[in-house]
Amino acid sequence: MSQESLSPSALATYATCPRLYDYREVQDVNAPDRTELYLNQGTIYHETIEDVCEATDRDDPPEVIHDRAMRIFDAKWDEHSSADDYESRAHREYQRAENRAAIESFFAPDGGVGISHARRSIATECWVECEVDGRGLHGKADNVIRTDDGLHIFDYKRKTHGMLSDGTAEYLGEHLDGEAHEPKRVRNAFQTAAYIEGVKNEPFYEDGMEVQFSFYGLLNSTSFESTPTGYDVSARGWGRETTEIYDDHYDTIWALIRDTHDGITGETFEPEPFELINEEACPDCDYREMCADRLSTEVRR
Amino acid sequence: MSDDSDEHPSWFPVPEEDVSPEPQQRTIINSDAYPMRVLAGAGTGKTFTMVRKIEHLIDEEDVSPDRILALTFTNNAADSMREKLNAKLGAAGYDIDAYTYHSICNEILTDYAYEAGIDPDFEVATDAEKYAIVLDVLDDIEYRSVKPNVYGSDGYASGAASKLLNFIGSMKRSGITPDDIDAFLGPADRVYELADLSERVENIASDHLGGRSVSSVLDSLPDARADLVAERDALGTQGIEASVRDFLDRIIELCDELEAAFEAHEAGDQALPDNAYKLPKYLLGGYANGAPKGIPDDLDLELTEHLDSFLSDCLTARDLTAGYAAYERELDERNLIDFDGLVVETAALMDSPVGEEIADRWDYVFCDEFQDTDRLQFDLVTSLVTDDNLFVVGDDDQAIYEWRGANVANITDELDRAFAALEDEPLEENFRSRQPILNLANEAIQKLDHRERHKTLKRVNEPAYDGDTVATVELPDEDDADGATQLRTVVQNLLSGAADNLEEAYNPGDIALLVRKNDHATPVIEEFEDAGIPYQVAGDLATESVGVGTVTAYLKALARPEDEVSWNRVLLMRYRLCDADLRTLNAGDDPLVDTLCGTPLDEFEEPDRVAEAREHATELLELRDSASLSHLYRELTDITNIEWYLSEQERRDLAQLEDVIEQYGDSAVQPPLTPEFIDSLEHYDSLFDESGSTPTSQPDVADDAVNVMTIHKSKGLDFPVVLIPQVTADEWAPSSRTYDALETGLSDGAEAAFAEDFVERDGRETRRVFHVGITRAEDVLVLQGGIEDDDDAADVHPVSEAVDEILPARIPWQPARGQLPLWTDVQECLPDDAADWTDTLASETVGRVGGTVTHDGDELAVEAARDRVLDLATATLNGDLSPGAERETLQVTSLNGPSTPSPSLSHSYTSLAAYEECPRSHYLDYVVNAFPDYQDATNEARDGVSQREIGLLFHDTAEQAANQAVDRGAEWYEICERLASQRRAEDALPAAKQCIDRYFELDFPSYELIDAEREFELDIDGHELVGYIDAVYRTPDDELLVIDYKATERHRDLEDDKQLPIYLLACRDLYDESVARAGYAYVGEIGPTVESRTFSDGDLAAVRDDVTASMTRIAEFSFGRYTAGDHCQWCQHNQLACAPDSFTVGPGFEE
Repeated sequence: MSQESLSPSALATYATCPRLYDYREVQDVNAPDRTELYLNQGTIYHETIEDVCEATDRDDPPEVIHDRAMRIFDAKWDEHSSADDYESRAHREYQRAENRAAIESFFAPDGGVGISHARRSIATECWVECEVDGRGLHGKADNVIRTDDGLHIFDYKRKTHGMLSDGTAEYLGEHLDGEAHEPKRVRNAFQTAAYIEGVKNEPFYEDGMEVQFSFYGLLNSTSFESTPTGYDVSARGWGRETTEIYDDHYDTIWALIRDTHDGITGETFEPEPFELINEEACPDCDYREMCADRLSTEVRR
Repeated sequence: MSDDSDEHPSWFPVPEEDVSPEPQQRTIINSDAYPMRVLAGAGTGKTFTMVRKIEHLIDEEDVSPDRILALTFTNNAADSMREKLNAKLGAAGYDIDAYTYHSICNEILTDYAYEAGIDPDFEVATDAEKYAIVLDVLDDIEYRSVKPNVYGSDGYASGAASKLLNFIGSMKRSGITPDDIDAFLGPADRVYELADLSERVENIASDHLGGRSVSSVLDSLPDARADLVAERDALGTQGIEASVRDFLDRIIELCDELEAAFEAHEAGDQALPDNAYKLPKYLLGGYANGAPKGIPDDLDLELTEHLDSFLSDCLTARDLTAGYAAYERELDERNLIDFDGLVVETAALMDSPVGEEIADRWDYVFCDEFQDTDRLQFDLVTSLVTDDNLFVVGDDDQAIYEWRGANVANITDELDRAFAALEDEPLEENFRSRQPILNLANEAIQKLDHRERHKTLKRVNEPAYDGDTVATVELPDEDDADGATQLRTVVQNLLSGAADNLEEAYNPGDIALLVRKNDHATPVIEEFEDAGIPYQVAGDLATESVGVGTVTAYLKALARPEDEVSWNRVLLMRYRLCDADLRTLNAGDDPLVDTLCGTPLDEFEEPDRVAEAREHATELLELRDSASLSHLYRELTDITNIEWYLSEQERRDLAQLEDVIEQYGDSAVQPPLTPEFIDSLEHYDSLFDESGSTPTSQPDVADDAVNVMTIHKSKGLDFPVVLIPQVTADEWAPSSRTYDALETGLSDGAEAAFAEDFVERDGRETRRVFHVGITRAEDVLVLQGGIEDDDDAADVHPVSEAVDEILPARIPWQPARGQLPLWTDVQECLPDDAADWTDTLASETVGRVGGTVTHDGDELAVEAARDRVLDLATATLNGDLSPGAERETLQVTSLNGPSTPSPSLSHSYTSLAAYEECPRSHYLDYVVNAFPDYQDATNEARDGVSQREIGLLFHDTAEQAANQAVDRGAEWYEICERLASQRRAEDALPAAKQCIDRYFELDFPSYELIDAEREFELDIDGHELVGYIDAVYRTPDDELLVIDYKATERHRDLEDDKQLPIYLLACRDLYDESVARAGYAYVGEIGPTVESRTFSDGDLAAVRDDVTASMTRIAEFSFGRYTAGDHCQWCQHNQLACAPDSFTVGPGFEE
């Protein structure tokens, strides 16, 4: 058993396909650039929230926080958004409008949850580490908030659709058994585990504190309204808490972590069960064009 | 298998066989009535008749060939028409102006560029250029209802670029300009005011018509009507407002009819079914959630939906029109004209004063496939016609390109309108399909209402046939069963031919699987794979091709050397690097290319392979920036010999990539390979998936594999056996199209937008597609289908009946619109002698169906055998295979599938000679059709011209020259040059011309040529021996002389020769007089000279015995026996251990 510490996303890569991990992490094969646009947008809203939290005091008025957020967003957009990422100016402008609407809604003075996220934030971009059964995990939490009973960790996303939920938590066990291929939800479970366990090693954690973890989809709902002079965009976000799922499926989640962790440290990269992976993971894989495992089935045809 | 228009490659001249036209055809050919329209059914020889009619004009009426213009759809068809006329009329045939509808425009615009106001150096825009322009004009779109997203989760398919491209396509095909659309729509404000009109109508319905009885609804109908009238009267009378006004008019009329019916009901004069009182609210869209209880779900008559979708298309169009206008400007700026633009510009030119002068270039205009022409092409044709000398053939029952803009009425009403004196001649005698197939086709097409002209196909000269002709297969009951295994079994039975219901065993190439849509082919192909049935998928169905992917990856890697995924692909698939070496290359932080070029070779397990990859990559990367894309591509294929690694299907697929490469760039000098080119390749598929389905391209057809294609692609082709899978109402239901009503309103006047039910129209087209599919079959037609539970047409809901009666004629939408009970119709139309194969030929195989391989005592299915071969190969590589054991011998007699029921081999002189030289090479080349050994491209292909190419070029030139009765060297040169350019064999041209020079030094040019490239088929003791005789001459001594041309360096010994005696034996069947003299004409470097001799009857008898013995021996072919010798140097398999070490060079030329 290795003491190597791994991130939830590395584990999730392996859970998607061991060969993918081999190509991406071990052999470090450089894949052609995927579109950077969503990556850059992620940077923009993450840094906006981070900076707002950093700059905000517990008793700042909502309007001040909101105005600060919009100002920071505009600066971040200019800093990170590149015209090269977009085929047209119109496309870029539309994306800016969508993201801006999401920040606007998140930090809305009249009830935007971002107001309290900013006021109660005790750490942003917080590096956490933990070790269970000799398997080390690490990660960076977007925002840790002090609640009345303890801590609430938030991971900000574009959308939370298709992520781990009460209704889909049972898929974790099916993935473990090789009956289903659910790397995205498995990844959410790994994140939940890493942050909940990791934050307990932080100095601001006190015994007896309740630790919660949520994903927050900033652009969960967007609407597009057409007018004679142009269009209007609005966005709305909400959170999805996975604390309870973690408690309820603790054994399954840690069995998954052990399996993937050991697979990586043991350098076992055969894609198994192949048919399932081939069907689910190959179509969107960056390495599909070079993957001997996939190509050999194609050639046989 | 054959083809209506062209059964040989397009370069091959086919003299019409000596078939005399049938009476109906003769009437048409000899008639001097113009304008004439021939509505010709499928398989009636319409192109044949048209070509003969042109011939007649030239031969009998002394019309100069250059006064005749012949128009058709595909380049293949135009070439073939020219070739046929040429074969019959000699060089004069080439003077005919045979064009496609697009190429004539290109020609006219080039000639009259000044008059048309365009730069004479214009180019036709390629798909890639159109794509690039669309991306450039995205910011010109006025985004209001169109989302600016260029791509989303599904790539480009649903993004703004794709929307704009589709919009331009729809509009331009119908000749609609951005200005037309602007004028029709008016300002955005107005469109937005109208946009919620359908909602307002629905509100009127729900406000007034929610009563719970006929009488209460009747009471409120006048109020609803009054509100509708008020809405209508507020509208203008132009463009979009006129369309909407017209819609409201229709709805108001419907209210009147409803009122009348309800009144009659209240007066006791008319019975109405339960729930009828809900109809007014329902029809006007007043229910929020579809049909209320009591109204059948499939009624599908919430009429406001039509208004809503029209208005939403108008909103989209309002945004996109500015993009369309910018696209047009951009084309103009780059001096490009797109495909549709060619016709637009030409039609406009023909409308100008110079139009008459252009039309005067021709006295006669002939048009083929006229039902596929669009509105613009119709205008173009009519403007080209002078003195009414127009001849049009086509088949309204085969009009299946309406969805691409074709206007079916062109061949019926429009033509009637344009030419008052139009003569009609029928062509209904079919020469293709057996009568029961035609009966079904005739009956099924009768189900088509609105059919303009009624034709009844009748077979003439039907050969005797003993077997089922029309067979049906019921799809299995289970949900979402695709029935693919049924078709696998059917095909296996057809190939084995053992079942009583079949007259013969069919070859794979005799069979076609014709599908409505791609999805129908996929499961069947998988079954074919599994059963080892060879198949070929035609153009637009081609799925992902691994080989093409590797070639593309090479281009990607060269364009972006940092793209390591592509390098890995190339290193794995082309250079076959092992995993360990790939890991060595991927290790470290340096870019892979640097590692490939810099790592000492001794660090690799297979240094030779790495060295080859390194050498190629270095050379190509150096070339990249200086060479044009096409040049780089040619060097890539030459240097790497990558094509050798591809299967035949993959090589065919590669041709599409090559086309894209050829077309790339818009200037005279093609740019080098760039990342932008790679990007355009990536988006190509999603944006241009339609381009494969135009009537302007036709697929190549395989003669040794089951042909799989869409019915659209099969048009003009025919096959002995046709299978059509999944004929069900659901699977064949037409899908709706965008801009239907808008496009119609723009083309035919604002009030046409709601005059027709487009779903109904598309349903009719679907029936015609079915008709086209059926009529492709010659002997056997197999239809697989079934009835879904809910398309039981028998019980019509009483509400539907009532609606049917109430709806006024001005409402084009009918109950159960768009339902297409195809399978029910098939059942009704089946001829009496149709067979049901569901429980017979579709469920079990009869006789030996092949598709298995015997190895080590096991009979293995194809897939298992493949795995076994791979296991053995792996074992060899790993050194795990114990030598000497029996299991290494693979009995391959059935490896090439059930297609060759052994030992029915057809022999030729060449195959016999091969056998004499080496039974193994014969076995590989003529029995199992093995692929050739890998050839090192650096040795032969790069500098040398293939001797074979030269030989072929000379032979084909000689043959065409004979057909055209051309006897001067210069004319031979011309033919040779044309052939060389057609088949891209310019390299071989100088040597072939030398052969021609040598030929003209011989005496033959002064002899009478009796026959050229004469095909023969000898039956010797039950063995079939086939071949071609190059030439038969009559010498000045009045003796017949058989000549075989030799363009090679190899000299033949006449004493020991068997080839010539075989030809002489064949001549006994071919000619009345005896032929005893034969010889070789050497036109290659060892010529020019002729060596001939006389063969006695005794000589011939000896050769005959000899040949018979050989053929009998060959019946027991095997891989095991071989003879090594000099001939190994020409053998395609000389890298096998049997060849002497000295001959490891690639194959040379062996005739």
